[in-house]
Amino acid sequence: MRETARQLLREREVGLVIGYAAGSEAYWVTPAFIKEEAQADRLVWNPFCVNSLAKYLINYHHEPYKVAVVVKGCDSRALVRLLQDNQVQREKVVVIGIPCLGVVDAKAAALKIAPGTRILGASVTDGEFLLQTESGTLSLPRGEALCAKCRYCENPTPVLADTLLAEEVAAEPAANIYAEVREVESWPREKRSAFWDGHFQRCLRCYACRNICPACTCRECVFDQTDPCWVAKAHNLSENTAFHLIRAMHVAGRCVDCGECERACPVNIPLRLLNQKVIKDIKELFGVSTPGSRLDEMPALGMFATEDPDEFN
Amino acid sequence: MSLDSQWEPKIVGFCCNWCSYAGADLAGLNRLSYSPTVRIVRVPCSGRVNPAFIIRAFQRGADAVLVSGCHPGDCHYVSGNYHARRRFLVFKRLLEYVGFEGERLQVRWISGSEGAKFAQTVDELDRKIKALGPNKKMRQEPPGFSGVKDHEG
Repeated sequence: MRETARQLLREREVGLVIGYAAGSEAYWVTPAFIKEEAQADRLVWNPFCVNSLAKYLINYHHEPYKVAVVVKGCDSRALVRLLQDNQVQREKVVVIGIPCLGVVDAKAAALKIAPGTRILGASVTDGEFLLQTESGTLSLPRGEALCAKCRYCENPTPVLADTLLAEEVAAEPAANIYAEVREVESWPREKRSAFWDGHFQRCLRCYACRNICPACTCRECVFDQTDPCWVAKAHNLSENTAFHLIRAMHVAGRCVDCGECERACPVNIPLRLLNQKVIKDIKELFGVSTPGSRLDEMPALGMFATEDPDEFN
Repeated sequence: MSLDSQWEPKIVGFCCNWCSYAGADLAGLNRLSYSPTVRIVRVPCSGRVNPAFIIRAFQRGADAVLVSGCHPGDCHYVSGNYHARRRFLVFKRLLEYVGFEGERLQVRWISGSEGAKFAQTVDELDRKIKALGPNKKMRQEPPGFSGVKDHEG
């Protein structure tokens, strides 16, 4: 990755490389904005690179130079979202794709890794994440440490990339992607209602889920408008529910299931469970693929087919 | 008489100007009687109905929402109802998922000549909602609630 970044900067093909750099703890990485060849050594790639970097591209779309960005499979769907929404121009982006074997949930890793540990290298096997540290090799069992979104990964290899930094990883047949959604669906109505009320009740309305979302790029967000005021500033269950339902509908057919909203949520609302419900329904009803996995397939709710199912007669 | 037995459902009906509103008009012209619990809001097209309208209605005390538009293929704006169909197939499932009774959101295609269908749809919905009782989910009506000031004034 460092070599690719150095080369791109040296040949002045790009003015900026967006990648990952080591964070303040071993299990955190931080976005790195590399403008000079000499700084490319800061770049890292390890199983803690959970966050998506695609949305940072929006900040640079007026710059005269091209920007290179590092994407995993799920992040590449976010990039497709931005391209389809005309937030980013394809010819101004160099996509450095990393076929990914899954990333580690930082919260699970924080329990296993002592503060101050430095990661020197990492490898992934079928059963575990192996981390080379100064005091020896540390193993994180895959079952415990794997990020929830990686359990059923549809695109381990980026769907869009100019250069791939590793061998392509084949996607496993994904029959059970929506197992958790199906479980919630199977509950009686009262239980579903209480479950979501319990979560929405805790929402702080910090809008971190919106800010991190690659599908949320409106110049003026409906939740910031005061006239008309669709969701009041008041903090209560009704307004919180309105916020989450409106948001789910705004990203319906556009949500790429990157899981960033759930990761950013400070009160751990299972937002992916909400958005996956919509994705699942849209796929079943209209026979589309997961949003963002195909550049030529536009968002499902922005179009229609006369032969769509109809239950409103 | 207890408060409960005085309760009547509140149904908000979003009717498209070109078909369903005319259908409601025809029901009136034909002197068909249908439940007075429906409050009709005329919208240009079923495609104009934003899920936020429905959420707002439930927040402010609606027990059910009826969205009604031209039959697929008959839209005055060619494709508004096709878009609405996709949107409400998804939205209705989402409402059920978070714990609403699915019956509280009803979408129907009613043409300008289907006055009887309009009356029947409203009556049927009214019956269902009377059986279900008042909607409590998302409702914002504490005692003495003066109403958040709307931009409509």
